[in-house]
Amino acid sequence: MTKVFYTDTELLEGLAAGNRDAVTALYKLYHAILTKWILSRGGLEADAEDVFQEALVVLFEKAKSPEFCLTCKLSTYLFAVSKRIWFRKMEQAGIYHPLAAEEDGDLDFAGGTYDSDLEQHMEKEKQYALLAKALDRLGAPCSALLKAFYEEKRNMQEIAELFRYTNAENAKTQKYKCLTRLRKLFFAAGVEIRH
Amino acid sequence: MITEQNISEWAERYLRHELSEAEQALLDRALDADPGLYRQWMQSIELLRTFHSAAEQREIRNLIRSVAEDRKAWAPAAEEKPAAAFSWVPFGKYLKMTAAAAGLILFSSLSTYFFVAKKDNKAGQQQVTLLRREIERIKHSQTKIIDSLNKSRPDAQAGISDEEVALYGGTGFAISNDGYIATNYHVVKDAHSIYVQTRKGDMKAYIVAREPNADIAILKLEDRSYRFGKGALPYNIARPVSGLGQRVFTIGYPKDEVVYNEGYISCENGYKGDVHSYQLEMTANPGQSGSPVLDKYGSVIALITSKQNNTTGTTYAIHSKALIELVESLPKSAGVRLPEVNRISKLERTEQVRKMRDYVFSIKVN
Repeated sequence: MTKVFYTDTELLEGLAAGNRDAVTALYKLYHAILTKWILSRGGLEADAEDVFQEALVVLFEKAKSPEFCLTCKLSTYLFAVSKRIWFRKMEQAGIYHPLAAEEDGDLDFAGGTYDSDLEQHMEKEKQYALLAKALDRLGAPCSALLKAFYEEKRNMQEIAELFRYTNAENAKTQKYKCLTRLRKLFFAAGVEIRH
Repeated sequence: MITEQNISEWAERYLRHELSEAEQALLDRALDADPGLYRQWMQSIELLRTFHSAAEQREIRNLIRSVAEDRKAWAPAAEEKPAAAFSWVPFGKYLKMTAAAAGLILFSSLSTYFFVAKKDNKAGQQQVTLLRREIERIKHSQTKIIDSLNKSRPDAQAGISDEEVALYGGTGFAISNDGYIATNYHVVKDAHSIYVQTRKGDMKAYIVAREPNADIAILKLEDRSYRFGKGALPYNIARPVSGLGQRVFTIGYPKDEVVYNEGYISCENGYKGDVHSYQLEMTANPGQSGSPVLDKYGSVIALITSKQNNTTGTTYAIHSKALIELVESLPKSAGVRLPEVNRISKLERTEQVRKMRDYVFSIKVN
C-alpha cells in the first residue's frame, strides 16, 4: 500500500471498484472509533466487527448506485449508518425499544435518508436470502451451473468442461433452462419486482 | 421468436446491451402484445439483477472480511504486540498513558503538599500581606512606560533597556508640590527603577529617604521642574494620632484606575500591637500600598501597608507621624516642606476626592 491519505471520493470509488487498499484505508480510519463506540454501548468487539462490515456493505451499495451523491462527510455517513445498524440489532435482540415519538418526527430530518438507505439494504438482503433459498431448492447440477456462471463469472467454455457438457452451446441451453426454473421458484416465494 | 422458454436469454442479452436495434424492436413488440410474457420478462430482469448484485455483494463481503482478518494492515501498531507471559503486559498498551497520569498525580499531589506546607509555614510567621501589586501585564506596562518616556524625555532613552520590566505596583501621594512623593518602603525596596504615573505620563523617580522599620520611603521625581499642581497641596499631613472610630477614606491604585475606599479606625494599634500603625476596618487590595488614609477633614493620617490574611477588610496603616519624622530627619538642603494647611476640610467627600486624586499616583517598580 503506497498511498497514505485518501479523499472521501477516492475511498468511495475505491470501495465501489472493490479496491482492497480503499477498504484497508476505511478500516484504518474508522474501525477503532466505531469499536470504541460499540464497546461503550455495551457491545462486544465481535458486534463491532459485524456492524462495521455491514455498514461498509451499505456504503458499497450506495457507492455502486449511479445516482448516489454523498452530501456529508464519508465518516458521518458511515457512523450514522453504523449506529442505525446497531440500534436495529438491539431492537431485534429486544434490548432496545425505539420511542414512538421518534417514528413520526424524524422523517424530514437527515436521519430519514440513512434510514431509507438501510431499509433498502435490508430489503436487498432479504431478496438475496430468497435467491439463495431458491437456488437450494433448484438442486445441485442446476444451481452449481448458475453459480459458476453468475457468481464465479466463469465463461461457458469452462463451464461446459467443468460440468461435462459436450460443448459450450449445450451448456448455455442448459443454463437458460435452469434460469427459467429458478425464476419460477424465486417468484413463487413472493418476491416483488422492483426495477 | 420470443417465448417463455427463451425469455431469460433475451433478458440477459438485454442487460449486457447485446441486442441489435432490430432485435430490440422485436422484443418491444412481443412484450407489448403479450402481458404474460411481459411479466416473465420483468421477472427475468429482476432475477438477473438480483443475481448480479448478490454476487457483487458477496465479493465485497469477502474482500471486507479478508481485510478485517488482516489486522496488521490497518490496526494501530500497539495492538500488534504479542501477549507475553506476564499478566501485566496486556496493560502495556496503556502503560504510557498510565505512567503519564501517575506522574501527573504524583506531581500535583507533591506540589499541593509543598504549596500547602509553604503556605502554612508562611502563615505561621506572618499573617499579613503587604499590599504591593504584582503587575500581570508586564509587557504592556513596559511598552507603555517606554513609550511615554520616549515622548516626554527623549534624552533619557539610553537608560532604558528592553530588559527593564515593571514587576510591582503600589500607590504614592505627593507630600510637597515640587516632586516629593511618599510611599511604602516595601513597594520600592527592590527597585531597579521607579516610575510614577503623573498627568504627563510615567516619570522616573528615585528614593530620597527610607525608613524600613516604619515601612516608609520618600521619592523624588527626576524632573526637577515638574510641579504636581498650581499652588500648595490641598491637604495637610496630620501629626496627632486619630482616635478610635474615626471615619477614614483612601484612594489608591489596586488597578490601573484610581479606586476609592472608606472605613473607620477599628484599633489604635496595628498588627500585634504595633504602636506605629492603625488597624482599619476597610477593604484594601494589592496595589494600594502607600495610599494615603485621610480622615473626614481631608488630612492624611496614615499610609496603607498591609492587610490581615485570614479576614477580609482588616487593613493596617502606618501613622503619618512616622512620615513626618522621616521628613524632618532629612537635611534642610533637601528642602522638603510638608503641606501645613488643609484646604479641603469643609468640602463634600466627592469634592475632596476630586481635589485629592491629582496628588495620588500609581507607582511602578522594576
